[in-house]
Amino acid sequence: MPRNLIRALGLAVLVATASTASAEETLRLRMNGDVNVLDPISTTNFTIRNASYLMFDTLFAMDETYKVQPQMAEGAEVSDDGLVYTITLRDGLKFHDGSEVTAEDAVVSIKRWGAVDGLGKILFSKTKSIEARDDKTFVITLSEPWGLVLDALGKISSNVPVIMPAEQAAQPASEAVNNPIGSGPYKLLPDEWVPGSVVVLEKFEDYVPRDEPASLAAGGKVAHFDRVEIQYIPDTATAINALIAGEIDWIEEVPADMLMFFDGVETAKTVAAKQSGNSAQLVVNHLNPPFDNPKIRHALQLAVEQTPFMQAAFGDATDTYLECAAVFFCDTTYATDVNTDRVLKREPEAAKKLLEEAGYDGTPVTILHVTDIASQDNFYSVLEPMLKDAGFNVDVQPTDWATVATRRASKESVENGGWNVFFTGWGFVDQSNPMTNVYVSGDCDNAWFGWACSERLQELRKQFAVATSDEEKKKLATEMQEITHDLVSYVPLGQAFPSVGIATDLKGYIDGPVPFFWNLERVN
Amino acid sequence: MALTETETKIQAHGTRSRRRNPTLESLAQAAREPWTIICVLILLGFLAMAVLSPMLAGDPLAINPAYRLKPPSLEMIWGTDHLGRDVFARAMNGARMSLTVGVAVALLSAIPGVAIGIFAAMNRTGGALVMRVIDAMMAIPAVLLAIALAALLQPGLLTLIIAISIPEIPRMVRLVRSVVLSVREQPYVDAAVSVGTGGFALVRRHILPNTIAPVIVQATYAAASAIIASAVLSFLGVGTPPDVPSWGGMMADARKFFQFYPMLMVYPGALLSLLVLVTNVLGDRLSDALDPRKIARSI
Amino acid sequence: MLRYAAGRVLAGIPTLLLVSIFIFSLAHVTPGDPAVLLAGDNATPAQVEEIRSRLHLDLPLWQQFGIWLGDALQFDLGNSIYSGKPVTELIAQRIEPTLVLSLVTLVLTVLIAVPLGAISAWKANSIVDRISMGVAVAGFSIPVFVIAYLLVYFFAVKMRLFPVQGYKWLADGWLTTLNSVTLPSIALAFVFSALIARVTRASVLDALGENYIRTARAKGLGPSRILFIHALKSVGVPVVTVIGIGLATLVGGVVVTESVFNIPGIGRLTVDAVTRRDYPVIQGVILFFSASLILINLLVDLSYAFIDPRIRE
Repeated sequence: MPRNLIRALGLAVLVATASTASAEETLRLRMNGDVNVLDPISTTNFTIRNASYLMFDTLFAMDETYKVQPQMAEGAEVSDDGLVYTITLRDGLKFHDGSEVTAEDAVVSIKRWGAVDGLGKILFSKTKSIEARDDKTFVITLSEPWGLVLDALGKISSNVPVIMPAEQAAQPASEAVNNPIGSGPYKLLPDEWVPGSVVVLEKFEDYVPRDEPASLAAGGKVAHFDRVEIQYIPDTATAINALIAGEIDWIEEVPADMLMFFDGVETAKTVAAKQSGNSAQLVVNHLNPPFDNPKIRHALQLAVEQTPFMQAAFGDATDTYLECAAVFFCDTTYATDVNTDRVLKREPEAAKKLLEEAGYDGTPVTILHVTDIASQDNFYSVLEPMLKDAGFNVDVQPTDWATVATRRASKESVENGGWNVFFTGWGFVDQSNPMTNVYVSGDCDNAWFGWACSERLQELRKQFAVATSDEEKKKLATEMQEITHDLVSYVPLGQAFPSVGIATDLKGYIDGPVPFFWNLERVN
Repeated sequence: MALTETETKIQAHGTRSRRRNPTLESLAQAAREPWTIICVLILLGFLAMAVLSPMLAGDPLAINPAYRLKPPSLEMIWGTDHLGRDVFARAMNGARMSLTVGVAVALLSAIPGVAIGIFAAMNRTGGALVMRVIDAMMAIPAVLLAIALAALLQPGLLTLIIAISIPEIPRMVRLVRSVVLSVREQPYVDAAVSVGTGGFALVRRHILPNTIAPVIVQATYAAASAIIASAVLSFLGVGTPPDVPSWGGMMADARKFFQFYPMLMVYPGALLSLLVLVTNVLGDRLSDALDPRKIARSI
Repeated sequence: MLRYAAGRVLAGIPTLLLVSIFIFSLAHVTPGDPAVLLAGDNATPAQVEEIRSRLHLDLPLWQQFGIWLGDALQFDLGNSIYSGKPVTELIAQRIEPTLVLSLVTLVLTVLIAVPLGAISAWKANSIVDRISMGVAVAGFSIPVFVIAYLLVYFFAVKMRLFPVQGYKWLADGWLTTLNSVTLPSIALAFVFSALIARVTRASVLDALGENYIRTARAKGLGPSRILFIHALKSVGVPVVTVIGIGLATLVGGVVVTESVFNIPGIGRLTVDAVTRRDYPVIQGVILFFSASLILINLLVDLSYAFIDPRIRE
């Protein structure tokens, strides 16, 4: 019996005596959420992804031109028929427990990732075998040629195919690894980890960075700090004040309406993170009434417009957001304004007429109003009157994000724990690519939440995966957008360029779609 | 656990209860005091605010994001909040929520509290059992219990009221029980029992009237702490529903901009504190009037 | 004495048992399936079923309670749904900040409230009394977070005297720790002192009415000697009792204050667990706080008995 007690007490003492060396150089970060697990395969949560990059390494990585470069890999050799990929690991790779990284570790890690990731699943549907040949080399044999093998292995956003020791990667992806071991530039200190408060990492002395200069996720990952603390400070105003007071060094996102905190401040500044643009969407459930009827979904499109949502989120900072209905983001390769008229205009009268035509029987739209995330809280407050104006019956139920994040996976009716609509956001890297954008899959029951169903979309995506010319890809993407808006997989609300808050004495910050903390150092 | 301050005093108080209804007389006397009058007037002001808010001010829910965080104007005399809503209209309307919560919690803690308290005092074995349960409930910190209940049940106004009421009930039960126990020792009650006055008649004629005074005082304090508790729950994100204007919700919204727009927190905060202050002072006045030796505010 | 102590301890056991029944039922009256929550987005129905049986959620309620209680007695409160870590470990990690914050608040409160209450009683109905009691009523009429934000704004953001947020561990030096809990303690003490000052005043008033004090006055003892030696001595017991019981109120304040100041204590743990529906943690912290309060009150009771033998009768 007393074992647990002793353990608990011992831990209290340990925590109390830890973190003594204050002369060390420490980097203190505040991300948008808390780090509850450090396993980027078990979840797509961006906070976990960002924290994982500190302690894990990847085989391949994207550079700042969005080209894939070797990272842990020495390189990849592709057979002439494009079916066999032979990948060799570079020298000097070590896990934080001191053991060497082997090809077997890489194979097991990739399999675990391939079981859950969207792009990974496609890779494995085309893979005949993946096997280690020796300690340093492994071979992927495809059943049909596919041009995106290395892009998939160098995927920059969730799920990032990180390499773990084979024993840990043997766990199913649905169970997060408990005491994760990585091979990246920083090493987790599990005893100092207080979930809901702080995660502490220290420089991994045995990490050998590549020789190339850092370029986004690629190149040499040089750790300039002895310690990194990821602190969870839920209240944004508190976090910004702490940054300005020098208590922390970096904030992932400074909301546009809080930029004024930095006026006349010398200790910290904001940097517009152009690369980490993200977009907001209202996701629509195609399974539950009233939105199982396409006409009523169209009425929903006509009921809302983007401006008030963007104003509610960003206020007067008009240069930090963009009204945009392009499915693959505005100002990107596949950006187009095809079929965006029906999305951008708000016409409550036309919506009412459509509802009448569709025989709307007054089934209420249940709105699960999220109150614990400020931006979402605002969005729901804006949405409710708009729907009422267009003739929808509305049933507002206040709740929190965790509940919605759980309920959105349910295909049940609303009374039995399902849902009608919810707000969410996706990042630039995820949405600008037709292969990873969740709204254009048309995969019916297997699609992302909302379960929009279109055989044509599925067909288009298959064609896109094997398309080679840019012209062809653009044409396919344009048709995807046209169908997606006809189908109303979701209603786009605009895109934004959030600002990062950073202490002025830091230099070498890499502006990317994912924040990276190697290469960053303090100057005096 | 040791008796609280309140109980020891109430027991003392019980011994000098008079036969004629003392409560009404004392209330009438209290009503003549200037402080009582001031408190009641201010409370009536809040009531008027709640009832008349649609006439006094604009729509508290109308959203206009393009007109957000604007300074006071003739049209919106306290300016607008982060969604462009009329702060004055929301503040006036918020009185409804606070008064509802205060009154509802006072009733919902007093009614079961009196019933359980009388039962606990009149029934020896059952009473002992009930008091064990009450002791256990007292051992759980009230705010903690309320937060847990508010978050775990379906969110909404009713949940909020129930979550705040439940931790208030044990205090009421202990108070009522100690009053009843001391009344039962009175010779005239003994006499009534000996001439065959039965259970219900006994309670109605002799016991209930004696509990009214302390229960009114305790319910007043319960209302005051309920109003604060609802603001605290809103602040922690488990309180009032977002589509109902409330002072607690307004303050929770305002904390983000506190440094730049402090008035967004000051308006609802001042109204809330004034309402609670007046309710507390009224409780003190009543307690002075109803009990010469004073019922200390129980914790 | 020993018999009395044993009796008091034994009396605490059923209370604690009832508390644990409440706490256990909390998680079972609520909508939503903990197994589904635990399993996460990618889980198959088979995995959910597996988790359900691992957590014994498929057994009748009374059996579940038995298992839960048995585990709790062995200091095993289960694992957090959110972080997967043992609840006892999560609580142990966070005891220090909460303990330091509470103790500093308690010291501040006693330093402010007891003299204030005593003076008010001595000078009952004077201007001093009216002002200090007025402030006391105001003290518990203002939500603690409003006071906390005002303190942060003036003393941390504007004057930069104290940190805006966070907690410094004792291991980094007790002076920095004290510095980091100053503002939160003042905010808490403001509310808590209001309560204690009122009770102290009432107790001193009572004591001043007692016979032996009247005798002391008649003997011509000076007012300060009467107040400090005779009156305050007899006031000690009720005031300590009230502080013991008032700790429950303090816990509520701690929960809010730790949130405002981002202090990684048990209060923050509670709020986070509640917003995440992390039932094992919610149960664990409430049990922890309740058991601590029962224990403290038990110690308070026993200490009287030690001081004053009459109580043992």
